[in-house]
Amino acid sequence: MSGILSIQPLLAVAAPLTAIPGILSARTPNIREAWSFAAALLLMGLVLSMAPSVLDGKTYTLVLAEVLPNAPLAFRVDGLGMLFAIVASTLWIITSAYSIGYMRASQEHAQTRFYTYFAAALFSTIGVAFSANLLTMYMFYELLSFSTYPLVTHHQDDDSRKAGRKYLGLIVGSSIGMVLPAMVVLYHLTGTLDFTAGGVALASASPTTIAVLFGLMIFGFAKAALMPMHAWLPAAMVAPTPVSSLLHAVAVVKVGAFCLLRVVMDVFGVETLMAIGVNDLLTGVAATTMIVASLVALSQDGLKRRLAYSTIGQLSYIALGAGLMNAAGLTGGMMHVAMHAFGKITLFFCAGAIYVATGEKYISRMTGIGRRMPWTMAAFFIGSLSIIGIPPTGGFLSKWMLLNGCLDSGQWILAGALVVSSLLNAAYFLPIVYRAWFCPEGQAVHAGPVREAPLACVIPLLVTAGISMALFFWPDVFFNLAQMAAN
Amino acid sequence: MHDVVLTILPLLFGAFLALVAGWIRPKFSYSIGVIGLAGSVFFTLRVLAKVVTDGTLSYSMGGWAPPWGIVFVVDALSAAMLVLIAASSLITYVVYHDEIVDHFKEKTAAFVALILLVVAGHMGIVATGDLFNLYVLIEVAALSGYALLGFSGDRSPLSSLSYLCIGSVGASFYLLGVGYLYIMTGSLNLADLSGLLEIAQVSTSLQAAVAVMMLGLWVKMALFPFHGWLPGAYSNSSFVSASFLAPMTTKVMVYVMLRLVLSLFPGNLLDTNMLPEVGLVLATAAIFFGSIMAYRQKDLRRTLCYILVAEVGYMVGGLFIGNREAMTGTILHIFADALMTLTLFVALGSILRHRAESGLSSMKGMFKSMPFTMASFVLAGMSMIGVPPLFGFFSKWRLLSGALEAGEFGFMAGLLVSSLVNVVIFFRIFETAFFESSEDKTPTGEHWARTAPLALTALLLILGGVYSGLIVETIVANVLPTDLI
Repeated sequence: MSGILSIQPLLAVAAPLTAIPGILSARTPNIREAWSFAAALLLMGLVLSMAPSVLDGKTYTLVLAEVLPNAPLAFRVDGLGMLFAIVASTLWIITSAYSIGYMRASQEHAQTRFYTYFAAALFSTIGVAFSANLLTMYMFYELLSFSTYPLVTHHQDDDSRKAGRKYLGLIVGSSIGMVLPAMVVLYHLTGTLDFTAGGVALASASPTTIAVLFGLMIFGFAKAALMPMHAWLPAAMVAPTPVSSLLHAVAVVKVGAFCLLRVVMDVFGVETLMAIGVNDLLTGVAATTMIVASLVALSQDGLKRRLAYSTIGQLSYIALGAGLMNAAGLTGGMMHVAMHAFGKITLFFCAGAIYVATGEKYISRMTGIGRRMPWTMAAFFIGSLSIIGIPPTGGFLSKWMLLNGCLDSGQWILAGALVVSSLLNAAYFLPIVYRAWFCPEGQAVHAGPVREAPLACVIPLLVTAGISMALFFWPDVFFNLAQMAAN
Repeated sequence: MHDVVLTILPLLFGAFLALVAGWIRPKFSYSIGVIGLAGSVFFTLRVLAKVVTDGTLSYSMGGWAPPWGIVFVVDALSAAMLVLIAASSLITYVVYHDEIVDHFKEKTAAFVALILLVVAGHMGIVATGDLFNLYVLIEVAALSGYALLGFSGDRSPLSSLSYLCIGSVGASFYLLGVGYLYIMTGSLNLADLSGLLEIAQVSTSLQAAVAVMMLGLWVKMALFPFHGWLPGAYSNSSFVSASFLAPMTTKVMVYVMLRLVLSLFPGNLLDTNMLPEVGLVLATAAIFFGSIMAYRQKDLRRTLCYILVAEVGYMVGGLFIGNREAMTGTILHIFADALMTLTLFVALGSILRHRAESGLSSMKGMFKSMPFTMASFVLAGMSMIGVPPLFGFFSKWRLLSGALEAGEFGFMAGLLVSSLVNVVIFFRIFETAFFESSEDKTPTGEHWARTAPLALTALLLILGGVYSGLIVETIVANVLPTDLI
C-alpha cells in the first residue's frame, strides 16, 4: 500500500473545530446553526476528497508530533477509517438539521454550548477514524469521552448528573484502568504502537500475556458496550435526542466498535489471535451480549431505552464480526458500522420527533400514533427493518455477510445466535409499528388528523430512512472499503 | 556581565529597590517586582538559548576558580528549570496584582521583596555547583518562604512556624551530610567532589552522609511520611503565597536530589545500599496516601495540597527506579507538575477570591461566571488525570513504562490508581461547577489581565505535551548518562 504524505487528514479532523468560534460569536441562532452546517459540509468535502485515492488502495499519512520514540501523534487514512469518517460526516449534516428542529421545538436551554460540544465531539470522532496508531486513537477516544459529557448531561438536573457519573465513570475508568496499562505493556513488548495490517510482531510474548492484553483492550474500550461494560449506554439516554441519535447510535458507540476492529486487525492481527484462540472469547462475549441485550430490550417501555439496549445488541454484531476473524465476518462487521448507523439514527430521530410532537416517551402510550404521525412511523418501520435485517434495507447486507462469516468458520452456534437475535429484534420493534397503525379504535391513545413534528425533524428522518433503503441497492462504497480493510 | 549572574541579579536588586520604593508609594514596589521578574525571565531565556547551542555555562563568583571558589554551573536542564521558575513566578505575580497591591496594603513592599528573594533563592539552588552554597540558598529560599506563608490568615503564622521547625530540621540533616563529605574529601564543589568520591572507597561514613542528605531533602520536598508541613503551610496561608511556592519548592528539591544522584554519587553507590528500595516504597506510599487524602478533603486548597504530595511520589519513584525511561519521566514530570500546579493554584486562587469559603460548594456556577478560568482549571485537571495530549500524560507514560521495564508493578498500580482517583476528585469539582448554581451574590467576573496569563499556562500544558519528544531530545537526553538504559 502506498502512502500519500498530505495535510488533508489534519484539515479534515480540524474541520469540525472551525465551527466553534463561529458558534460562540454568532448573534442570532440562525447564524449559529449556519456555522455548524458550514463546518459539517467542509468536513464532508474534505473526507470525500480523499475517498477516491483510498478506494484505489492508497493511504494518506501525516505525522503531527514525535511525542514518544516510535509512537508519534499521527494520522493515517485507510479503508476502515474512511468508511467510518464517511458515515460520521454524512450523519453530522443530517443531525445538524434535525437538532435545529428538535432543540428549538422543545425549547432546550444552553443551545450554544450544545452546538459547541457537538462540534468538539465530531472532531474527536474523526480523529479516532484517522488515527495512525494506538496512542493517537487513545487520545481522541479520551477527548470524545470528555467532550460528550456536557452533551449527555445537557439538562443539568439530578438524573443527568447521575447518568453523567455512570457514563464517565465507566468509560474513563476502563480506558485509564485497562487500555492505558495494556498499551504501555504492548509498547514495552513491541516498541511500537502503530497500526499495521496483520498486526505487530508479538513473537516474544507468551499466549497468556497476549490473551490478557487483548481482554483488557476489548473490555477497556467500553464505548463498544460489550457486557458487562454496557451500563453507561442506557444511562446516557437522559441526553437530548439529537445527542442520543448521533452520539449513541453513531459516533460514541461506533468509536468503541471501531477501536475493537482496529485492535483485532491492526494491533494484534488476526493470525496471532487465532493462534491462541482468543477469537472464541470475543465471539462468546459478543453472542451473549447480543442475546441478553435483545431480551432486556423486549422488557423496556421507554422507547429510547429500548433503542439503547437494541444498540448494545447491534454493537456486538460488529464485535462478533471482529471475533470471527475471517474475510466475510470482518467485512460484515465493518459494513454493520455503516448500516446500523443509518438505521438506528432513523429510529432515534423518530423517537425524538414523537417526543417533540406529542411529549410521549413510553411505548405503551404510542398506540395509534401512526395515524397522527404517518411519515415518522413509516420511517420508523424502515429503520426497524434495517436493524432486523430484512431487505430491501442495508441492514440485510451486513447481516448476510456476518452469517456467511459464521458459516465459513463452521460456527453453527454463532449463526444460530444471529438468527435468534434477529427474531428478537423483530419482536421488540415490529409490535411498536403494528400498534401504531392497527389497533382497535378504543385502545388508541393517539388519533388523526395528521400533526407531525416540525419539518426540520421530519425531513432528516425521512432522508436517513431513504439512505437505509438506498444502501441495499448501492452498498458499493462501503462494501469496497470494508473489503479492502478486511483483506 | 556574565549571563548566569544576570538571571538572578534583577531579583536581588529588585527586592532591595522594592523595599525602598515602598517608603514612597506601595504601587511602585509592585512595578519594580514586575520589572525584576520580567528581567529575570528574559535573561533565563537567553541563557537557555545559549546553553542549547553552546553547551554548559559556568561562572566563578568573584573570579575564584573552583574547587575553592563558588561556582555556578548551568546546563540544558538547569537552564530550563531557571526559565520555569522565573516564568511561573512572573505569571503568578501578574495574576495576583490586585491581591498584592490591595490586600496586603502597607505590607506590599515587604511582600514583593520576599517574593523576589524566594524566587532568587530557588533559582540559585538550581544554578549552584557548590554543596555548601546550595545549603545557604536552600535556607534563603526557605526563610523567605516561611515569612511569605506566615503573612496572613488566622492560622498561617502557626502552620508557617511548624513548617519552619520541620524545614530547619530537614536543612540541618542536609548540612550534616555535607559536613561528612567535607571531612572525608575536603571539598564542597560538586564536580570536584564527584571525581573524589569516584576513587574513594564506599565507606560507612559515605553511606551515612548520603543517608542524612537524602533524609534532609525528603523533608524539604514533603515526601511521605515527611509531608506533614505541606498541607497546613500551603492551605492556611494566604493562597497568594502558596501559589508562588507550590509550583516551585517541591520540584526544585526533587531537582536537587536528581542532581546528587546523577552527578555526585558514584555510579555504584546506590547499588550498595537500601536507598533505592526505601525511596521507591516511600514514593509508592506517597502516591496512594496523597491520592486518598486528596479525595477525603473538604477544602479544595487542601485537596490540591495532597495531590501535590502524591505528585512528589511520582517524581521520587521515577528517580529511584533509575532506568532511562523512568528518569526521563521524572524530569518531564518536574516540568509538567510545575505547570499543572501553577495553573490549578492560580485558577483556584482567582475563583476563591470571590468566595467566602473554600469548600466544594465554592465552585457552584463557576462555568457560567468564570468560564476562562474554569477552562484553564479543567485543562490542568485533565493533565493531572493524564489525558493526552496534555503534558501530564507523557510524563506519566514514561514513568509507567520505566516502572514496567524494571518490573515495579506496585509503583505502576500507584500511578494508575492515582489517575483514577484524580478523575473522581476533579469531576466532583467540575460537576459542582456545572450542575449547581450559586446563591452567593458576590459579583464574580474575569479580567483579561488575570485570564490571559492563566490561558498561557494552560496552553503550555498542551504545547509541553505535544513537544515532549523535543524536550526529551534537547534537554533530558543531555543530562542523563549515555550508558543509562
